[in-house]
Amino acid sequence: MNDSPLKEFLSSCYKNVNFMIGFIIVLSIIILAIFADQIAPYGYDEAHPQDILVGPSSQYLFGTDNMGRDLFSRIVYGTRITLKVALIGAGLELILGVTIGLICGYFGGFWDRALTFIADMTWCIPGMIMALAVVTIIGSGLTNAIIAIALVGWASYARMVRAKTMSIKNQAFIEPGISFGESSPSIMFRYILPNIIPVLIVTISMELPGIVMSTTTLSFLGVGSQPPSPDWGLMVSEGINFISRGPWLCIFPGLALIYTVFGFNVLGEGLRDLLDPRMKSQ
Amino acid sequence: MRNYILKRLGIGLLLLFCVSFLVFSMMYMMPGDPVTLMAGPLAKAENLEGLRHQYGLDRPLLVQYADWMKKMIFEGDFGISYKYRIDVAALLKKAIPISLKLTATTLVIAEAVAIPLGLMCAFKKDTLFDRITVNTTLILTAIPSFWLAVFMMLIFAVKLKWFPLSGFESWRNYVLPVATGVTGGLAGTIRLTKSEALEVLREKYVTTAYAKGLDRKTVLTKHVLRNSLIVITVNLFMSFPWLISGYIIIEKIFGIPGMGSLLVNSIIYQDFNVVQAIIMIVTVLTIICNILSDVVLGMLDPRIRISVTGGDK
Amino acid sequence: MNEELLKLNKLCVDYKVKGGYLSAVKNVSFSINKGEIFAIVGESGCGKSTIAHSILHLLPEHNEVIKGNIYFKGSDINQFTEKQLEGIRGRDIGMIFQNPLDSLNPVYTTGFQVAEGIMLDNVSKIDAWNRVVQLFKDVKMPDAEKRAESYPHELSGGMRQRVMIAMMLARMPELLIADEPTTALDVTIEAQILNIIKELRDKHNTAVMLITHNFGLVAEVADMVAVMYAGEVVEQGTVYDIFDNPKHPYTTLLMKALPRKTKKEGRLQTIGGSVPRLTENKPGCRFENRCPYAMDVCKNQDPAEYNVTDSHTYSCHLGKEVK
Repeated sequence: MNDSPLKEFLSSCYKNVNFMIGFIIVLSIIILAIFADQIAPYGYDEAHPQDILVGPSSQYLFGTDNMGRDLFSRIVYGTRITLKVALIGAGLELILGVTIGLICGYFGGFWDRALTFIADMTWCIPGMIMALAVVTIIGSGLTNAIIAIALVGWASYARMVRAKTMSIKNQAFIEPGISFGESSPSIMFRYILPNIIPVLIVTISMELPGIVMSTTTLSFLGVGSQPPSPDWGLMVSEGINFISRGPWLCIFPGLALIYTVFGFNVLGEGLRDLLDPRMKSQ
Repeated sequence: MRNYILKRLGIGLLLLFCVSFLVFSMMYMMPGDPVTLMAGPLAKAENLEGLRHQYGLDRPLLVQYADWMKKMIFEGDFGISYKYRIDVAALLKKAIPISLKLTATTLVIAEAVAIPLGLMCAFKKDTLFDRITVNTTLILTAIPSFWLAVFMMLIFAVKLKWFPLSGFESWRNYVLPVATGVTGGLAGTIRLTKSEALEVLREKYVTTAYAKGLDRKTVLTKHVLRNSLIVITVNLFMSFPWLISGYIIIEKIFGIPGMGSLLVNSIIYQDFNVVQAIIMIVTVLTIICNILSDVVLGMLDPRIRISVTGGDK
Repeated sequence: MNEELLKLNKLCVDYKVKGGYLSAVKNVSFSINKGEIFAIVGESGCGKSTIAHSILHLLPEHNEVIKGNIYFKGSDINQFTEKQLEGIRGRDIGMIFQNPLDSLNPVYTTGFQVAEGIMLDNVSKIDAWNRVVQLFKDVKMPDAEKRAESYPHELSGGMRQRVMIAMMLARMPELLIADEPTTALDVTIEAQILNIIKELRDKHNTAVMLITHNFGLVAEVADMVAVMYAGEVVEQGTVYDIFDNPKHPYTTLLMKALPRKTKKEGRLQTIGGSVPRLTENKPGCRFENRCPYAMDVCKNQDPAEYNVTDSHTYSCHLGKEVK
């Protein structure tokens, strides 16, 4: 039984139901995003004034909105926004959280106390409210909304990275680096970072659903994506006005969101099972 | 124990001051000037200066901050709403009770449903009941609250016409918002309760309790439940700020004139005094909830009391 | 001659896993008399702890099947209902565990936890508390009243174990099962705990089933010994039988591996290989792959039991030759 470690890992991936389902869902969204131009029958901005508020039909799979735009196409293009949100949001939280966590964990002392205090400040104001406050200052728009959510969420990352860094720092294999006089950033990159990557992957995948949901909520409230962007949250909020005449306008974007978030959720659980069985939930 | 509480209070106060200062100065990071907004586009420059002086907006930042805090704490004066031209305090007095009523009701119902469900899942692990509940919560966590609210509105208000769409007259208006809030809040508590109960069930002192001759009911209540409560109670207290924040959306959708709606509208109209005031109040509430949960934690878990105030006896 | 208190007859404990059962304990039979200290020895994982827990149906997982007879004062308690078992636990049979910190509930005072058991006998709170303090004094707990009002994490390991003993002795059970009671403690504390156990036998005629992997303990305190390997009892007898006249290859090797008082034994012997944890239920001797005397028959036939004396038995195919 001498399969290479990679092969063994891949086979355990296959066996993990959570991971496979999550992976398929996320993959489907990525495919939709990349090939949106080919898959969507119409442009997301394409108005058909003669077909306003038409119900789901063979011509318009999910129906049309009050400007005659095909809902299905808009949802397909919306995958691009969702992915953008996920990538940039997670990326920002990652950079912020990891940097600050590493500094706190590695240097300790004053920097640790100061930065931890700042991190503590982020939980004083509940998430959505703080995000709204940030958006008030820096203005609305999708990118700003993502920044706002990242600013709310980096603290939990940082806390985790800090704890891990501290525990790794105390282990013996760091000593050679220090005695050789390696610079601190180098030590952090070469020794500590590789060891926290599995935990990072798991944590990011568990954060992704939240990031997507929060940013979409901001769009719903009107401070995220602006019209005519095919952001799913924005579409739901626009659809409320026509809820009796065209309920599909609210339902389908929401379903798309649920599908995506569920996929990220399940993928996260699968990754956690695979990469860090100790963290397994019951 | 007393030291422990005092320490938590101290840190809480420090955080409060720092956050409030940030919130206050936030208004000054904004482009534009409250006075310009208030006075409108037709105002003349000289008049603007006069107005600024009148509102004390030309003083240094720290002085303005100290003044604001002083007025808030000692006089309950939150300033004047630029949009409505009345005391912010008056606006708050109308809006806060509404939000509190909704949030409190939601919290009580959600916990009353979620905690027993979580416990049952733990005791009946891997049965059909457990699997159904777990999978349902998995789906529930993927549903965004705003969509849930819209969906509820669609089914119950539009199609079935059981409840009114918006407004806030009778108890009927309560039902849909609370139902939305409860459904959204169940999943997290169920999962946490279940995982905590399972951990406790595995502890060796549960075996000891049985070995003493205690019957199943006593062991499950006095030992398992009592120990699970530690984490469950902390979760309860920490859910409150989270609920408040989540209700912003629900209030907006159902047209409820509570704190959340007020906040969103004030942001849109750039009515800064209101925004500041609401954020302050929510921050204070959050910090209080944190301190309370730490205190209750100390009461429920003797190990915590000792470790914070000093070494072993 | 002391009367028989506990008798195990072909006790088997299997764990249900995907695709079948794994055997943790197989066909274990022995008996313990009143006032006897009966030690069960073996390496980690040999199943001795499983036996201890299965007597009172206290196994932590709930997918085990316990077959065979467990006679306590004549009744087969393996057939008892949960309610009947609740009646025996603590009152007729007590049990103390290896790690006293984990085994005590951190949120209740030690006094309360001991009193809890006492009050099952319809004793008032005040009487129960007085009894607790008295019990603590009996187990030589310094400052008994203060300790009763303390929480488990405020006490040292030795004191916690005393709390456990007090807890399980509170209702004067006739049999005390001690699962590795001193493994987590210092040697000095160990000696004190052992004295308490000896006193139990001498003063109260309490029988003790002592589970341990420490032969020094066994030599100090045991009357009878059963040696276990991979879920089976391979040899049992009086403590002198086992130490001075071991018959089973495993026992012999174990005795050789012990550091003795004299130095002339030379290097300590070790036994190659390691103990299988849970095994499938195949016929054949389980020690076969590590036994220096293994023969072909050992691979596919269960060894029979042979008597050396009335009290001393062992299970090995070699027994056939000796006759």
